[in-house]
Amino acid sequence: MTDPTADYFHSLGEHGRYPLLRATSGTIRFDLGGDGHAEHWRVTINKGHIEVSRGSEHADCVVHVAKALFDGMVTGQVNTMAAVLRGQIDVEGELHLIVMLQRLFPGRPPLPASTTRRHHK
Amino acid sequence: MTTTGSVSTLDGNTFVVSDTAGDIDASPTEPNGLFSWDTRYLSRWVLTLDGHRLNPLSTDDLHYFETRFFLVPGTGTVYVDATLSIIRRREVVDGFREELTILNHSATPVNLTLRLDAAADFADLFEVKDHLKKKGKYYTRIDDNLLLLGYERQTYRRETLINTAASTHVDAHGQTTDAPAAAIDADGVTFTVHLGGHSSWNTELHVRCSLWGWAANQRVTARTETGHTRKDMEEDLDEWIAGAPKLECDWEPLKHTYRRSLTDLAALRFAPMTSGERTLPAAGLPWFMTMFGRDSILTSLQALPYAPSLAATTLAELGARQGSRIDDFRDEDPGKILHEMRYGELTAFEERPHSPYYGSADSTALFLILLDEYERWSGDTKLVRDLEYEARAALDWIDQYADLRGDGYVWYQTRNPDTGLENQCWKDSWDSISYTDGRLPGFPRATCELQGYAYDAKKRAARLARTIWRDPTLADRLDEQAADLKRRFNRDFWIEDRKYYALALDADGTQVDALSSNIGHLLWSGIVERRRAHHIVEHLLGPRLYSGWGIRTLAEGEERYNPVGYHVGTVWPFDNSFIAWGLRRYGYKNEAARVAAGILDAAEFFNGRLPEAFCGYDRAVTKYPVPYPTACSPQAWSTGTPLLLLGTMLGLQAVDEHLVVDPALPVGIGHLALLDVPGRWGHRDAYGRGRVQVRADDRLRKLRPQLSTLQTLVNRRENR
Repeated sequence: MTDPTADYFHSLGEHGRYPLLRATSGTIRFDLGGDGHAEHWRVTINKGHIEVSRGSEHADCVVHVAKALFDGMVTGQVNTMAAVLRGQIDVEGELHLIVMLQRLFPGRPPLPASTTRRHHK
Repeated sequence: MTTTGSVSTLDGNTFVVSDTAGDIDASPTEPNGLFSWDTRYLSRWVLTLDGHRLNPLSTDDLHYFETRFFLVPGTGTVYVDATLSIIRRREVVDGFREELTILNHSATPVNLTLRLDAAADFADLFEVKDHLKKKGKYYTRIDDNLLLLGYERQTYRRETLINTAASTHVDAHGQTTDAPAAAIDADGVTFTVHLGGHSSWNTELHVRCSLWGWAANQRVTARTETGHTRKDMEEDLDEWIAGAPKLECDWEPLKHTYRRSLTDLAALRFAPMTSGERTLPAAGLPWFMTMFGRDSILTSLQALPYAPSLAATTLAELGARQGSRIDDFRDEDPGKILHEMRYGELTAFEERPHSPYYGSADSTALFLILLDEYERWSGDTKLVRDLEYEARAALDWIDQYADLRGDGYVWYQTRNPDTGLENQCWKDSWDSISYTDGRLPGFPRATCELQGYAYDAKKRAARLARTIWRDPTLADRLDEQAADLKRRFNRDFWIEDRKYYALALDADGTQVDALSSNIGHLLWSGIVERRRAHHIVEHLLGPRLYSGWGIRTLAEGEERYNPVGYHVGTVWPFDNSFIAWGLRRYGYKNEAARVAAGILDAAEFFNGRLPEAFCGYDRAVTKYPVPYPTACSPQAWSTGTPLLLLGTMLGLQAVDEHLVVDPALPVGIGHLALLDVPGRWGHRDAYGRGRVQVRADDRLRKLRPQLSTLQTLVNRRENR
């Protein structure tokens, strides 16, 4: 069975360095609920360097979200900012950390018939 | 907002639009209400005394965040019962507070029923604007001293909390006693008032907007952590005004306009949800109280010599939200600077792409232009170093993602045909880009000013690369690219038999040949070949484009020209301010002064507050500037316009470590001075003297220059 969330976190930790986040430092804990259990992922950002671990220790920013929704966020099906506005994500602590991290999530997948000719050099 | 008799009170993106009695009675077409984060939290807020609405005697805008309404009971005739008066004082601070006072001017005690009807439709601003229907359900809760109005759609909840406080009665001898508490029902609040002779009664209500619903109003605004009180706001405004340069001038209305601009700019400052205390300019009331890439950047540029902190925040915030992925729904690409951020219901449910939306083809180049101009003024090399990554990503976007046809120009075409923007330049209405014969070109489109911005951005980034990032290779490459772009642009966009640049190229590379104000922005960017500049200036100040008040967006004689058309014939003050800057850049000092004078003359008719746009009618025909029917006011880049025009009249320029002053004042201004202009030089004064001394009796007779006859006026005086 595929687990988009686990896949995403593994590749996030493997890649390691993210210049988009080079001015960002702090820890985010994702409390992913659903099916009667919760899983915890911790993302530590240190000036663009990211480490991923499991565990429910304290974090600067705690994000409570359903696992199924989070699967959508890390595959581009769900926009994080819109989901926050909808009330589907509860954020405690430093909101800006998740705002910055979600920039690494993929965009909405394109429709099969894209309307735009795009030139790539 | 130009609706007759509307009053706006605001603080960042929370604002109240009411009638002159302070009542909110929203209709589908009127954007009245209490708005916060793009949502209407009160659509009805109507005060009655014994069942009758009250008549306004006067309205007093104490500050932008505070209004006082002086009211009397109505009789349905021209006469009013003057034995009672009601004062309604409202301040927009953390939602709003409203203090109600009834004064009994007679010796006879009275029993009164004072009622406030309250309702909230929780409309998204987009729904108000486009008349859309709601999809969720409403609920109401009544508690001690609390009326809660709520709206729910799945997990989305927004709540309005109306709190009542104790009421007090003060008798003729100054004795204070408690008065009966308010009675709360689902539709409002009722006060039973027993008012003695020569006594007064007083109460207060507090209305708060809850964005998150579930967390009991925990995170209403980004600024709740620090005390955000009225006193703070007064001190903050005083500090803001005190920190700006002082204007000295013999033209009184200009001083008023200047003061108004500084105050409105303070009111339009806005802290995006995640920026903490840092503020940047929101675009404008009522539709655009949010972060816009283009508007925030251009306003920050206009305000650089007055409030450089706006530019620093704008750059940092837009940099932190720079596009990072390809998302067709949001027209997002890596490196692209956002167009618009929204917080309402339609954005939340992804029915609109504004979370944020990236549909502008100019904000990315403008970001680079602001970065360089900001450093020239402030000397803040740290920010330029901090944003090096974002700046390089922006440059890559211009070369890679904006070049949809692979020919080295900046093009646009939305990838979200349902809810994206067709036109991704500042003239973003559907019909703004047309051929002379009125046809609309296909997509993609490359408007001319986008090429100018790209050219300027590359030149400026080259300077930053050379002096701050220490990357001479990049600097040389950017300079070469810019020179090449300028050469090609002057070949492909120039219409030889009409002596101006085409408005755009269409999908086939054919010139979109309408004459428009866009050619003025080309002067600002420096992409115009010097030998051609005089042709452009003649068009800009010629009768087809220049109305006497300002330069029209589209020239008279074009098939789609309409003096009341949003981007096809109206005059936009901000557009004129950048064109005036461009005229200075090419040495056309007097023409810049003429454009400045026309717009500043118009400002006087709007009590110092320029609207977003006014109609393109000829000045000789209407004698006064006619506001565009639904124009936004105050609007950030209109508010910034007088600031930039002052700078162009004084010829302010940041050159190396110095503030260069090279004044050219319009007739009618004898002397003009800006004292304590902040910058890398510390503080410096800038003085200008007019070419023509204005005599005191001329000013008394209000003999200001009729600008269309400027030269004759000068000649007449000089020949005396």
